[in-house]
Amino acid sequence: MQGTTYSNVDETIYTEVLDNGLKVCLMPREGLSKTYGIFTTAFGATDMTFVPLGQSEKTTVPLGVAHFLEHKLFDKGDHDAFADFSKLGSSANAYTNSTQTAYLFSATEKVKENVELLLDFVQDPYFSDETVEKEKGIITQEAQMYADNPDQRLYMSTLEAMFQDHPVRYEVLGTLESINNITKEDLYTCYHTFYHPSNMTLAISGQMDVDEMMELIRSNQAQKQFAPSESIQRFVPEEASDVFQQEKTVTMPVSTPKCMVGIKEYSASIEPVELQKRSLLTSMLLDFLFGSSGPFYKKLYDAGLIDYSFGVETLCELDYGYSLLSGNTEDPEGFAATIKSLLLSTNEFKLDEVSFERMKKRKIGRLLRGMNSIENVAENYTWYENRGLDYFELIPAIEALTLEDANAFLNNWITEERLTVVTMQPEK
Amino acid sequence: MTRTVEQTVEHDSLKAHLIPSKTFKTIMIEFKFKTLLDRNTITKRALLPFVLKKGSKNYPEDTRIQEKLDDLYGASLNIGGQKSGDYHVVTVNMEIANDKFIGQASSIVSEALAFLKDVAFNPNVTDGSFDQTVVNQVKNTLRKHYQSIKDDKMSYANLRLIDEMCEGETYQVHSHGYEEDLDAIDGKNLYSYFKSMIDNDIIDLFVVGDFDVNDMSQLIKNELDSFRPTQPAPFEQGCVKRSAPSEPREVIETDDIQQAKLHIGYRTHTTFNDSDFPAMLVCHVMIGAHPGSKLFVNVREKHSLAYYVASQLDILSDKLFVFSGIAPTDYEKARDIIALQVAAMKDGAFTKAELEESKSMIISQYRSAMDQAGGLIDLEYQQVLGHTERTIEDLMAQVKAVTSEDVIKSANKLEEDTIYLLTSKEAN
Repeated sequence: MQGTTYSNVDETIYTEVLDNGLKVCLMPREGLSKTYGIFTTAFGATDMTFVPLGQSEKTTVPLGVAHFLEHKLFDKGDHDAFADFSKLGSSANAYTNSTQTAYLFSATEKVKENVELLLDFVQDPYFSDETVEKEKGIITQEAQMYADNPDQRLYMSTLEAMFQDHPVRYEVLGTLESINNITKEDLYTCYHTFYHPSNMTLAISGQMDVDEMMELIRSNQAQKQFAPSESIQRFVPEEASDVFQQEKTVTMPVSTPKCMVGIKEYSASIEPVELQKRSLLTSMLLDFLFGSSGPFYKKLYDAGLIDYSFGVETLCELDYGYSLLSGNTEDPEGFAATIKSLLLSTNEFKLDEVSFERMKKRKIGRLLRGMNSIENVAENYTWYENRGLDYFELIPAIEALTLEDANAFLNNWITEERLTVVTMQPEK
Repeated sequence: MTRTVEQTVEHDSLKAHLIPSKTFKTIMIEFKFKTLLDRNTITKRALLPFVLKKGSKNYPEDTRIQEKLDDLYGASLNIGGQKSGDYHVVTVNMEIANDKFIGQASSIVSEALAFLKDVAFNPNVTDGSFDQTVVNQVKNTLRKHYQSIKDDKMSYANLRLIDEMCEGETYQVHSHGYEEDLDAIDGKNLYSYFKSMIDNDIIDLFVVGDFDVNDMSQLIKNELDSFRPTQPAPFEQGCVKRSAPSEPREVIETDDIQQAKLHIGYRTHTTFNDSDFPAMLVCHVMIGAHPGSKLFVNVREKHSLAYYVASQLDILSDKLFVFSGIAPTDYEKARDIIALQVAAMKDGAFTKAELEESKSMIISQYRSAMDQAGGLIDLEYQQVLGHTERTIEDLMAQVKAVTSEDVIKSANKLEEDTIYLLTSKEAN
């Protein structure tokens, strides 16, 4: 077990890679009564084509398998792991996104039992034709809930317009049709390949005795047998750098039109250090320009093109990145045209030293606030770790950014071919 | 854990709740302005947070406010309003980095308090009026919000259920206000209401973080305690408990949707300061507030009717709500299964284990909430809103002591009041 102290944020993190390949990270914090555990596999909705463990030919599974598997891992046929956590007085949850599936609990007592339950239920699948069939009704209702949500529809339509081939363009849940086609064999194939300990990370944060905790995890894992680990071969279609469609209109029964401008940041693999820099600069610049006190926000607001619903988000991964600007607007054309021209104007924009220092302080303040949450710390640590980065080194990384870095990035950030505009009009 | 001790200090103009804790990397400062919900003033109260965010006397634009926040090492500022039982509470919240993480020799707390006072009590006013342009923009924002309420089907169904169930009750007043009020509101009458709010609301101030209580109390006296001569006398208005109609009301409406929303309101004849409140809380958790609950196990897991199904207890009011998203064709079936679960609770058809796990879960959630600054504030403020001396420790002890008989008694106080269904046009 290796301990690393980050004096700038007053944290010590203990890590170990077990014999079976499982990566364990312990993040003790004094003065709390809560312990949070999150068990993550680097398997998400976009991992559709791969070579299954122990085989030599690649296979493609239906859309939505990662999420379906997440639901079914709780079901043990005669009991439900979700309810087992309730019996311990703790709460559990799980989620699936494009790149990972995570299982988590939050507890204030019986912490060891909770950790063992988390490891044991995730590492002991029970998939039957009957339980798989039964879940289809529940997941269909989950999908229908999103189908009625205009913001979710707009978001998915934008990803579809931006990406031509990359599976990030599909809903994590899959389609009603693909959900209905999923079989227990699909679940087992994915499970054996992606839930191997060498593809997983266990992070525990909050109240704990570090030595006891690590020993508990070691001995739990030592009792279980796994196939030898193999590095997983995944296949993702090559994706053009330009957007698939520059414009698109969809309709839904909404009261006000909505518009989303998407920036396809990149669609080829980048190095971790580049990912960190891009991710920091993109979020800092978007916040500075389009945040509620930013110069671009002000132009849009004063022109009556945006309202309280306006929002900006960005996601940078190792093989793709995108940013989204969206909101309700009475004038989608004006909204889109103004945002596009503001974005294009960044080719000539010059940040000054004072503004840049403020941006850095704002980002550091936000990170520190986020570190109050042990849930957030465990999740982010895992996310960065799985991408070869260190969450607790972000503050020094921000401090090291220079005005020249920022201006060079900003002036090369936007090209028109990487912008897409999706409008949602009310149904007549 | 080291229990943080709250100290309340009566200042002339407000009551300060000081909660020192070394756990957090930040200091949180929060004002709560409380008054009774009132149909005549609610729209003004809904507008004010937006106006205050747009600028104060010394920081007359939102850009100036943001710059100051950035200069305060990336501090955050949030202003909003919400309904709490029969009250409306406007919250002004600020979070600043703890000095030790920002390499700052002198404290930034007093600077932050002075800034917060300016934002909360010293708005940008000329000749007894807010800036009319700002007010018009903010009115427009709210108008757009009203128009888009229906786009979020789940919140819309909640709102409609309360509209129907709470006719003539204070609780029915919409915390976001009413579109028909907007035309009559201008910079002058809005400012005049602001002054009356500052004079007449009961104001509580919470500070959570690593600080010295005496120093903080002195700082509050110096920086904040001069905006009015005295705190108004506390007013008490318990929620007026009502009975359900002899036959539950059934309200069915239609929309262009894939998923129907079945939302049901019950009368509890119980509020936070009642001695049997802990039993009602346990009863609610057993009905529908965790994955081992009656609703989750039966409606979701056993019958696969819903992805979301849960109960929600409004602890300051006499109401319990059940929410679910179902296929439109499953309405009668889902309604009957929900009714059976409530009936089972009345009959005592639950195990000792179900009771004990729900109690553990409640206590665990309280302890977890106390690990967060915002959670600590909410729990302490519940005591203020509920007019009770019962501390959170007392409440946890009382929850532990709840027996099966107590739960059955509480379940038998539940009366189904209103069934609201938002369903597809085809299904109806």
